[in-house]
Amino acid sequence: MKGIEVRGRTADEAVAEGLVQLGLRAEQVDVAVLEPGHRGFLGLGGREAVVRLTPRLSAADLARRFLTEVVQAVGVDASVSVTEDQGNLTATLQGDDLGTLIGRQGHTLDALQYLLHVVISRHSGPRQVSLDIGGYRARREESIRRMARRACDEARRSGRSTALEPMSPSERRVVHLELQDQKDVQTESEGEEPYRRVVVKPTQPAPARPWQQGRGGAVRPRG
Amino acid sequence: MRELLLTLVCYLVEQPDAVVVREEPAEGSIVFKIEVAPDDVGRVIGRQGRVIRALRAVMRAAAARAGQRIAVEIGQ
Repeated sequence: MKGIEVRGRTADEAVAEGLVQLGLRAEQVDVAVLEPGHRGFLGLGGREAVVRLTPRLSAADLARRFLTEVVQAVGVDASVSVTEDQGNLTATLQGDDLGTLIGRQGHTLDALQYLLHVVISRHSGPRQVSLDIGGYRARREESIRRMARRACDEARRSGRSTALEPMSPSERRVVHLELQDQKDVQTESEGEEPYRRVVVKPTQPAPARPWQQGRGGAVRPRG
Repeated sequence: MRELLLTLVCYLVEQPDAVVVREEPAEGSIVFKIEVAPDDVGRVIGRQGRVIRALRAVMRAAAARAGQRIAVEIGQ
């Protein structure tokens, strides 16, 4: 982005004048002092200060530019939208044929989100960056909730620990949250990345089953 | 494909002008060799190789779309 050069009696005055011209605040520009200037003596021999103000690319603009270029280079047709809320970015790609960018179990999506996060954080300081493509995250979250509830039912019914498939940390979080209010099971993550998975553990023995053990029959021993 | 890798790497480094991506055909696949300024090597690899792993994942997806097999290396 091109900057502007501004003159003033002092560097500070020149910067203030430049900010007015650009309609920006001080934190939105980079300032280079080209000529510090000095006042001279009794109004004689003074030199004007010269500064250059370069508008800083906002994090959202950078994210937009990055994603647009990536989408173009991959050769898919997608629209890019980025919103910023208290410094955290939410980016969305919409279009047809976005399976390539999502990948199996969102693997490519996660990789792209990580790269976007690195690019943004190096430029504008650490912040949260989330990327969704074609509504994948929302769909995936719903299906994880379903899997969590099913595993919970299974653990309850059988009285045994029931493991879910390996998931990323954010996905495992969805499972923990979905089941946190179920008093008769506990959830724990086990194993090493990238195979770490949530295990649903019953806190009470399985209910006795009259149709299997006869009325008032002994509770099946647990193994 | 080379364009994509070049774009990604240039966003990751401090000295985009020094980035070179070479394309070397190998048996049944293409090997992309990335060269960057010495100070930028760590930025392309990332902590515990996370950045280069993400680069590879994105590149592999783009290659699969084009029906190609690729590898991505950081060369000198």
